[in-house]
Amino acid sequence: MSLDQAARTFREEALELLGEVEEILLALEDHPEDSGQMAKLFRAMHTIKGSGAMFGFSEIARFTHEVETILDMVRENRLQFSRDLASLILMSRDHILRLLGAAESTPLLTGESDKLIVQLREIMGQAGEAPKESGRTASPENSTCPLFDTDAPTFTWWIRYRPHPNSFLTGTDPLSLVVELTEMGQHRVALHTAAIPDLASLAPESAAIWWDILLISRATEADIRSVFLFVEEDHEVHVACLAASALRQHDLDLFEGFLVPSCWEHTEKLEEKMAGHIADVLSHRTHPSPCPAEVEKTEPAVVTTTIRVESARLDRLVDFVGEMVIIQSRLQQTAVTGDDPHVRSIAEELDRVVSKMRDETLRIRMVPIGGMFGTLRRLVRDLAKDLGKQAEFVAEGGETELDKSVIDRLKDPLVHILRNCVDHGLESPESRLRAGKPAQGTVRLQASHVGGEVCIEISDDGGGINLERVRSKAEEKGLLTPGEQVDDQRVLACLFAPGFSTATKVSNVSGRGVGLDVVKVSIEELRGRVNLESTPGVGTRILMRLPLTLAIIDGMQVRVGNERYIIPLTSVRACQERICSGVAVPVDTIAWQEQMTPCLSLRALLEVSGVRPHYERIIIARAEGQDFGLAVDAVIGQQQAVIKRLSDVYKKIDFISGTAVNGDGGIALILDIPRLLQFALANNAHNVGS
Amino acid sequence: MMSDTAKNDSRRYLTLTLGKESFAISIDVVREILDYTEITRIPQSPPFMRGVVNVRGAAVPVVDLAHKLGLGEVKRTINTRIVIMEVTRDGVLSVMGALADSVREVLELDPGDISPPPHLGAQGKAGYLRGIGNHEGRFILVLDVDQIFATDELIDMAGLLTASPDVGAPISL
Repeated sequence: MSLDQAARTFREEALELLGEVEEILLALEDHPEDSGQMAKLFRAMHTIKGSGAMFGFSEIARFTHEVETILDMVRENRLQFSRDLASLILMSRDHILRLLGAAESTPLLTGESDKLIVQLREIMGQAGEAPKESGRTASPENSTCPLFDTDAPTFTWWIRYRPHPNSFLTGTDPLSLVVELTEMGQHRVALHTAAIPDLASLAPESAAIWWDILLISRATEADIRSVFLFVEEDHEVHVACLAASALRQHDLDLFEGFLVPSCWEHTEKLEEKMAGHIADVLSHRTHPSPCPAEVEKTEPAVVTTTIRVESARLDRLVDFVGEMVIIQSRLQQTAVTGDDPHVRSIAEELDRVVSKMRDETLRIRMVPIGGMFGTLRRLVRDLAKDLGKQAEFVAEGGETELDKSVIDRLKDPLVHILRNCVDHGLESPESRLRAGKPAQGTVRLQASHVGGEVCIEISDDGGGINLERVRSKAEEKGLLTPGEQVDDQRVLACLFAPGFSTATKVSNVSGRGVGLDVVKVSIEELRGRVNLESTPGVGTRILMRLPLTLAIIDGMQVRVGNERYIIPLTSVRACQERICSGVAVPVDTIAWQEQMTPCLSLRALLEVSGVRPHYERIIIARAEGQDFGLAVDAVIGQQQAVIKRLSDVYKKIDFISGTAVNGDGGIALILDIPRLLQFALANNAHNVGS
Repeated sequence: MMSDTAKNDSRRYLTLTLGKESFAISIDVVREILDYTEITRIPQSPPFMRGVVNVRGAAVPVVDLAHKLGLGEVKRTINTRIVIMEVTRDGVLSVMGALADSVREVLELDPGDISPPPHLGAQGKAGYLRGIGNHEGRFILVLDVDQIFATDELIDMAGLLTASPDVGAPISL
């Protein structure tokens, strides 16, 4: 693997991890006590940092290190996980994403890193102050021995320091000495305040406190004593080497337990007690760890049961399997028409395997929709915050699987709809309370499988759509005739018209005139349908139905002359037949459900050669909310077809959405029914006009 | 070594016939040669676009080269072939098929054996000709496949052929 490839792999992995990070953070906001999630979060950041450093993403490594440090503190309960912290880490996550996107780290990005690092450190600093009351200071891990050369042996030191009562008068700040010590390595600090007199006899300028400091560092005794160089004569300093190696953080906690309740007079006795304990601890360890920081790094390896595969490879695999299915059906046909029972049984066996293989291959591309819930939840959260609203995002059915390509193209429409829900749908907390609803609104996303299709429902419990406003706007735009009696569904359908937006002022959230029509077009490109329902005061509901995959289509194959076409089953409503005569015309009418319904003759419309039969089949199809007939010579049957894109050479012919190869090796054309209808109407208008 | 083969390849040409005329195309662009198979017509496309054929699962567009060059239509005979080529269309490599009355041979032409295309003034149809090759005394029109497939219009090569009794020298009309 070349370094370039390795870097690409890192990028992909990091992107995935960052997605996970977002999801976890949002979950943690609601359940901050979930230590399992916190551990996952830490691991993800740890991996990003580690791999980042390995593949030369040094800025990512540097920055992520800080995030990891703060997460470590939370993980070890040294820092409370707060909403503020969650926001900050979310911002950090976004920053890592930006760093990942940039080819090289620019001074601008580095500056942003530094700004965030300062904020992170501030929170860490707060954690450092709080424990002072409890006599304890936490240390960030990164301070492990930065001052001393790495080859020097590590010691565990115990320093007891009692400043002279008059030290403030001589201009010495005892705290600064303690801070200097803590900078030498991993440490625990215990503050002893028992000697502080009561308020009546307190001399504010006199120091009455003292410290115990446990320090794991490569510093020598001389290094430590040099800290006290200028004060040693007056102040009391006791330095003891507890072990000639680094102890574990856990041990420091233990010793801290000894130190906190102890008093100055017991120094000697305490030293003995701790030395004994250390001997005991070390004897239990066959391999004393060289440095606790490294212990942290050797986490149990996560056993992966997934493999990362480039999606183009999967596409090729799907192509080959599609080809195999076709060859198999040719073999099957040959075997059935031949008279060798032996060949026939082999063909049948192969058929079974091939169809299983096809199902499995197509399933590889299926990914659960839940993968994008994190982003959507984040969107609702951020948006509600910006707009001063309260919104809860409830997502259900995350395990519902869809083709990866469908999911990728579904994200933008979903984002659009959710924006509408939060911006237009949900009311402000005050008006919600006035309407007798909880201040917090709910945006609900439900995904499920319904009969070979995926159904996605997005609903909010907001104010619903103002039908009157939509109607007046539609009349203004000429979509509805003023005074026309139309049902609510028709009015709502206007919302999907291009350039329709009822928002009176343009916000940066939604209402830029590109509204639901974009959603509709995107969903239709995925061969899906979208529907809107609204109840004033109760909320809005958007229902989307999508095919599981774009690679396969359920269709009805028909024959016209010698040509074969596939009509997607989602457009098919019914079948009829009629006896006919004369030359076919592109558009005539039939009776369907006691209504005169337009009927398109595929033969005339597509200029198919040959003679029109006396007996035509009519497929009743539906597009754009309109029923119409499609006259064909014969219906061959229902089939699942593997869709192949038509060459760009034919890009002007938009009513053919693709091709499918038949069992006999021939090609059938898949019709795009809404576009075919448009083509027919345009064609008809032209003919009538001339 | 590599440059030698590359050089040899770019000297090699596939000859095919359209009606009575012989044409040559660079072997570089040819992927495979298929026997005639059923071509599926695509409605609403120009007549020289004969439709698509199934090449191992992919629907490859087939152009009637004779029709495209204004030399009539390729009729289905036992010799009819579909030459599958990789051509650059709008900067993108795409697979296209060319219908030819027959495919003859692979021959070598030195760059010195190819004269520049005849100058046809404003008509500009010579753009589809890379040049005129002389192979052992026979004249062969060398086609520029990328140019032919880059355009959707028909080319009237018939006029060019009748108007050029002496194809060995540059023609000025």
